[in-house]
Amino acid sequence: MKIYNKTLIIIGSTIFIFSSFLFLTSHFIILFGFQDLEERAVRRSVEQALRALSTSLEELDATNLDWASWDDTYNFIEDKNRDYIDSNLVDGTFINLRLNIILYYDSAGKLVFGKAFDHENCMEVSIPSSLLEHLTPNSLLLSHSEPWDGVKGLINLPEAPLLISSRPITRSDGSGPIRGFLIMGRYLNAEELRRLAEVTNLKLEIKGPEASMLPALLEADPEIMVQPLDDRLTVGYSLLRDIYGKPGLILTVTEHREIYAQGLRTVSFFIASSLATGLLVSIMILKLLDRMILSRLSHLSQEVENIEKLGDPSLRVQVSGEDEISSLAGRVNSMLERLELSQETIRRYSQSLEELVEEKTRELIRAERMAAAGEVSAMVAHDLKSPLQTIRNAVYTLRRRPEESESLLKLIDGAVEQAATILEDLHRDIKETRPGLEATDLGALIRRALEELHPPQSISTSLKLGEGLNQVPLDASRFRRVLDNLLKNSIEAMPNGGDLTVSADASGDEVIIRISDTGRGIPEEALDNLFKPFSTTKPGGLGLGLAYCKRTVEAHGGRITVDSRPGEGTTFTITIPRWRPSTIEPPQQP
Amino acid sequence: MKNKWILIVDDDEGLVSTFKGILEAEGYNVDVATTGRGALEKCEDTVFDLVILDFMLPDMRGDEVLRYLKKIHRGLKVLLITGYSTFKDSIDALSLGISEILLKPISPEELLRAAGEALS
Repeated sequence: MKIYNKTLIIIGSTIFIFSSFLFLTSHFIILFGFQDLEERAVRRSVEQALRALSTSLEELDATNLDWASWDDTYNFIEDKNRDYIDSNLVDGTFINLRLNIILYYDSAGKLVFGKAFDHENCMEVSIPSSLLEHLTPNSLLLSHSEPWDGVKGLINLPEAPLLISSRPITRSDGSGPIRGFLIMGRYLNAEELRRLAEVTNLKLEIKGPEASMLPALLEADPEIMVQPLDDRLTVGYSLLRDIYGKPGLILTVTEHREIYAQGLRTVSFFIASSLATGLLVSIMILKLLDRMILSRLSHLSQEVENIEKLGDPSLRVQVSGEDEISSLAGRVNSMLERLELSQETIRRYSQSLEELVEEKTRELIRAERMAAAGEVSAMVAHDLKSPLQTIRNAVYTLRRRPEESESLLKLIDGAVEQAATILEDLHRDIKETRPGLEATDLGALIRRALEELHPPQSISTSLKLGEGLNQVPLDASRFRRVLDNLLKNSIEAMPNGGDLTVSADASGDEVIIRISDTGRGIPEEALDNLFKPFSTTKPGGLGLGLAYCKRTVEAHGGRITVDSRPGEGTTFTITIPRWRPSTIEPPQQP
Repeated sequence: MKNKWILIVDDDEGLVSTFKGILEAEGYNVDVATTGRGALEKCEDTVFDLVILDFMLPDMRGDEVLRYLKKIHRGLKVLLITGYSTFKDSIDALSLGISEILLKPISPEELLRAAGEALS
């Protein structure tokens, strides 16, 4: 992967992780904050609604107190005069004071007068019997003992919840004795709720105490609870207790979740702006990185790659600037310099080595030639010494016994002839590198060599000749010498007797001759140099025989190999071409 | 000296016959062999006083013949003759029981001297 892509991935994943972190933290911290804020706002709204309700009740109580501590009312309980009713308890009073019920009880708890009014239909209605059940003698509402006593609160009637106030009836100056009790009631119905909603600018509802959140509300302190309805609306609940202190009603305030929506908008905007900023910063970082580092690195990499492809250490990389990258380029250059130097050194070394090898090869060739020359001269010297010895002996005898001159001169003549043949052979050896090849019956040549070998009786010989050996291109006399040498070696290798096996076979374009003995074998360390002059393992032997064999066989275009196991025997294998190109054609196949 | 027997072993017949003539002229009894095997057979039949042995024989090497000869007659005197000039330095004549090593071509006087010394 390219370093640019890696950087892209690193920056991308950093932005991703950063955004995820931002989302989670903003969601949990900011949004929770907004939710808390919303809950507090709803609580305040609920409290405001409660205050409005309380105000309505206070007003009712104040009106009641005003009427109960009034001499007219005080007298009315006694004389039940019609004037009081006609002037005070008219429909207008009910409408103006937003009253639904007014009840007058005497001190014994007996209803003196009562009137209920239906605001909707603007008419007097009967007093609900459910209310009268709460107004038995000595009930909470009818048991005030002091002029300043009073009860106000809520009673949940089947018809509708009722705000109620009860005050003792006294004189206008507040003095007693208490003549009875004045009860005023105002229904907390849809109309009153609408009025409260208008005052508070809230959406209010009243629910019965059977609502499902009652247990939770009973736990809460104060008895207010806020629960979001959905993403748009949230509801605040408050428990309203009746005059007996029992859970009477639940007041609900429904509000639009503007704060929460604002919170959501804030979080979204926050995340979006953070992402945008992150993206912008990433792009800037990437651009800057690319310009200041990445493109220079890839440029450096490209240059090094080019140098590697061209394989030329004399080239240099070029990077501008004064930082780690330019220092890296400098190091690459100094390494290239060292590489160039060491290559030059290696080149010089290898050149001098090549020269050395060439020189040593020349020396070796010279030494080989010298050795070959030495070998030939040693052979000639040795061979010449016998006829020379004969001549010397003959001359010695001739001096002493001139009468035998004829036979002695014949001896000398024979020895001279012998020496001449040796020199002739030498001359031929030196002049002719290629032997004089003639189609020869190889089988007959081998048979004759074996017949003239005269091996000791302890050695048994066997000869196996294959077909196609009668026209092998050979220098018969030189090849015979090769055979004689090898056969003699085999005999010498078996001083205690053994088997000498000679075989010859034509195989394809080659003739293979094998000479095997069961003698002492050749030590392994001697095998490598076996065919080299003067490398004999025989004490006193000169080791010229096998060198001659190798040279002669190779001059025939063939090769000679040896396979030997100490103590088991030796096999020499000669392979020579069966046909001589152009002069001896292979016989026509039938 | 008249009753001394000498055996000459060399594969060159001209050389053998001329040496034989020279030694016989000096009064030695001389027999010849042209192979190592022939030499050993002669030694089994006759007790020779001196053997003049060529190192390079067609069937055996001189040192091999020498070993067999010494087995037959421990005190036998032997003169070794060879055509290889380097040979003289590479052989410990004394350890092999050789009286002297002579290089071909030997002057007959030298041979007679060596034979005389060996037999004395």
